[in-house]
Amino acid sequence: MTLAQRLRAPGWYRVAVAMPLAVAFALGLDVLIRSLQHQHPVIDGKAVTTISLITVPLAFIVAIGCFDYWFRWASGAPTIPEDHSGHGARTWRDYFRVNTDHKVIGIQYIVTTFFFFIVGGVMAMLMRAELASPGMQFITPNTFNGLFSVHASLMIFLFIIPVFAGIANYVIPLMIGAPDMAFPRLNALSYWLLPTAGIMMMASFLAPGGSFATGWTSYAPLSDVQPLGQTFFNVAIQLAGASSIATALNFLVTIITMRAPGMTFWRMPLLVWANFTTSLLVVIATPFIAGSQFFVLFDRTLGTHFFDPGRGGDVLMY
Amino acid sequence: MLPKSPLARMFIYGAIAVAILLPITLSIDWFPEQGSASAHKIDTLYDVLLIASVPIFVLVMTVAIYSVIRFRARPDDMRDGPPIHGNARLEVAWVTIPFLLVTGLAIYAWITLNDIETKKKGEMLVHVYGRQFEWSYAYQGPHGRLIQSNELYLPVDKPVKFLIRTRDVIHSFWVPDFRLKSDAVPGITTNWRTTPTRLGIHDVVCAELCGPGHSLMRGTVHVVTDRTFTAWLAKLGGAATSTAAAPGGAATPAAGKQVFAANGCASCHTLAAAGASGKVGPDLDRVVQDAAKYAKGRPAADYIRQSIVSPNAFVVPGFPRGTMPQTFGQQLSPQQIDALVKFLIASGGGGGGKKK
Repeated sequence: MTLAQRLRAPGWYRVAVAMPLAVAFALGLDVLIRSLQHQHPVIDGKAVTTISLITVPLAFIVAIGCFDYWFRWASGAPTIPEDHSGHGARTWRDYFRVNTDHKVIGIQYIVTTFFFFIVGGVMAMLMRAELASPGMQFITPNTFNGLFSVHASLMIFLFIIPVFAGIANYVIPLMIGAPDMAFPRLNALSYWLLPTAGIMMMASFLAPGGSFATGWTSYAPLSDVQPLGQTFFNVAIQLAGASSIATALNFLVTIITMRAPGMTFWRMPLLVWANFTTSLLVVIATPFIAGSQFFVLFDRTLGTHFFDPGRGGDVLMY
Repeated sequence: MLPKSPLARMFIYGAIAVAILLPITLSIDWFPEQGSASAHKIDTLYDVLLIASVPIFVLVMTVAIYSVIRFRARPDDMRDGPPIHGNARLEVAWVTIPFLLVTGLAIYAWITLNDIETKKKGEMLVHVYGRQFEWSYAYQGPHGRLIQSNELYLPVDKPVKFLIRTRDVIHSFWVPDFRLKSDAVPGITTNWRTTPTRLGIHDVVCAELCGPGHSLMRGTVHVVTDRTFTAWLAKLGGAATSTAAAPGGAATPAAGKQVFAANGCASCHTLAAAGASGKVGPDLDRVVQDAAKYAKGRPAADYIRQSIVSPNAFVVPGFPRGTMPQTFGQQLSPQQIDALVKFLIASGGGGGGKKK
């Protein structure tokens, strides 16, 4: 393939182009709006970062190729039919591409979640090292709070929740006799949202004022008044949450509609039942977590007062 | 001789485990000293929960461990297990029994808490205020006047009702020796009742992550005799209008030292002259050097005043923005701020950044 073709085809070359473009778009939007409103200075680092937090992950997901089929279909262009040639993985490189095979996605999920499990574990060891003797050794109180917050968020949103989705992705179609998941392309999208969320949480350490330091519960109104790092958490939760909801819907539809003949509900193995009930809970509960984080994000960036009792907000709503 | 049946064997193993574990769990001293009249009720509740949960834990673990060891597949065993389609009696039992158990314990816990929370005769009201990162209090004085205090004194054996509020984020007012805690939620006044029974000093802790200084948000409650308490409150009530630290007093460095001590500055800042060693905010032993470095031409007093009244106007590099409360401009009188600025200039230049 020539370089021009590579830049147009889904994959990491396109990602390398798209992500700087997304930052440039954020910068352009900031300059446009602030100069129209005669605000000075026209370049506001905080605003550019906040917009980038939304545009860069989207650019990554689109450029890696999660939306190619849907974009073609929506724009009326001829879609590329799935010929299953991409199924299975022949080399390790295949795990770094968008793949719709449930076994490949299962392995992608499990390896990714264990990566974040190890990162979270290293953070825990840093904290224990800091606590080895009283007083301050090598990290400040704010960094310490940031460490346990990112540690907890990674362990919960990037390990405990998705590792089961990974195992289930691999085994559930096999256990109920389905050829694959009900929505393979949605399955791939759910996976690729996940590392994006994890990297974003880790990147919050680079934000001025340090990473989000409010624990994984991130209670308002404390999270309302935190430095920029908190916004990384707000947006990362949207990505991880969207991933969980999409994959839970996928499991529900697969289990309800794609059982092999004779595999009645009451003959399903316990693991399938466990996944079915977990998915139901995820579909019911996760949108509320996403909603609460949207409210905090609006409080922080748009000047709303959802959690400010002094202006009619209510903290218990969180 | 052990019986052959796996069920009987599991029962015997479980009974032995419970017989060993239950005395161990009950003999462990889980709690700090009992400092209030209701403390023993909470401790008894905890013991009942232990007695209920140890056998359940043993039951689950015994079945799991025994089954894994006894019924594991041997290396050459490739058979499927027997096809089991459930056991209705067993399933009903393991849903009903935990349901009854949990409901019973919940009712018992509710009765206990309700008992502690009933209104007592001759209650004393104490207002509790949480702020990043300190607790302050107010007592009901004569003529409905509130007597502010940064220390908590309570008379022994007298019922108290705490009214808990917060000035910024969520905190949680917790006195471990009294066995009660309650969140301080913005916009809501929460309360709890207690009757201190033990003379001495008990810890006050914030139990809800409230920012970088959360771990330093600790205080003490002094439980004293009724006579000492009355004398202390009378002195405090009189002092509030007469000392130099009060609004309207003279703006001297000595008065500033009292303002520094009375407003919790020490929980975040280091200042040798005030015996403070907080690490959340900038080191105030170097505040005069910092003023020379960052204020560029303005007098040091201006720089310090701005940092107290609007702390976010300039934040010393390396410290997070928005950590210092922004309410001191309203809470302190102009004289108090003058005194504080004078005190900081007088004592914040000599340290040279050397920490003890």
